[in-house]
Amino acid sequence: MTTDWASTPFFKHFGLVLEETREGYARLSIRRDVVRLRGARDSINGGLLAALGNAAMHVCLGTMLGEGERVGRTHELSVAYLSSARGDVTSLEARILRKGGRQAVGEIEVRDTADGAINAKLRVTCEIERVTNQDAN
Amino acid sequence: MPVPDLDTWRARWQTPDEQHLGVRPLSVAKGHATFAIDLPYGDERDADPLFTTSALTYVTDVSALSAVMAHLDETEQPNGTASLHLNYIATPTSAVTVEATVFGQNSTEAIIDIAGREADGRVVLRGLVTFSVRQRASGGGA
Repeated sequence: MTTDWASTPFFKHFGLVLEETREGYARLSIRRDVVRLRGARDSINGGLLAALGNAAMHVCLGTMLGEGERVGRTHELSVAYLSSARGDVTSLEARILRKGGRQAVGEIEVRDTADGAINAKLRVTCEIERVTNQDAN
Repeated sequence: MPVPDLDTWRARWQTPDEQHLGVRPLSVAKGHATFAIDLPYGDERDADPLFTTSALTYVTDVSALSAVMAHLDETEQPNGTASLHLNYIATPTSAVTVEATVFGQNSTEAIIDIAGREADGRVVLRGLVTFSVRQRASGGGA
């Protein structure tokens, strides 16, 4: 099941851009000038940054799903904030560490796109839902 | 840093983006802040699981900030969120109240407990936030 992420309400509202996907990997970006929820030193707000990282995890997990599976809800999220996200463009790179039958764990790095300086590192655990034919209709 | 005037504090957290997330500031007291997330949205946002999770995550951060700011004394100032750990226990089906409570502080950080509950008391979110704090520069500058 593929999701048109760019057309989802969250991506559209917050200006999140899907740059690249391959199996077990996703890279998203966001321009700071479209972000209105700001934090310390006019950076992207930390709570929003965590939410963006979670979105990257969902996209990344979507690249590894098999028949009858879909990305479920997030169960757990941890963030270490390392520096303020003040770059003109911020990149979010997600990689799946392990995908099981019911859950997957991924790691997300948030960086200033221009110089690669790391802003935050996340670890996210997501549920994998089983979809029946009835659910899919 | 004194507990802010309630109307001034509420006004700070009612930007269009916050309203779009369903965020509504409720109360602030020393070391404590509460926000509501008005759910369901009643439109396409309800079908996008990223939206509700994002609202919970965003509110965690700003409620922690509010609780810390209302906790620090005149010699200290907040320096930014250092870490955040959240467990999303259940998908909310109705409005959620998120409470942030400072339960510990040392010279460099404050530790904040987060709990999100629906009106019937069902816990949908638990979390822990570490907030970096620092001494205010002498002369009053930030």
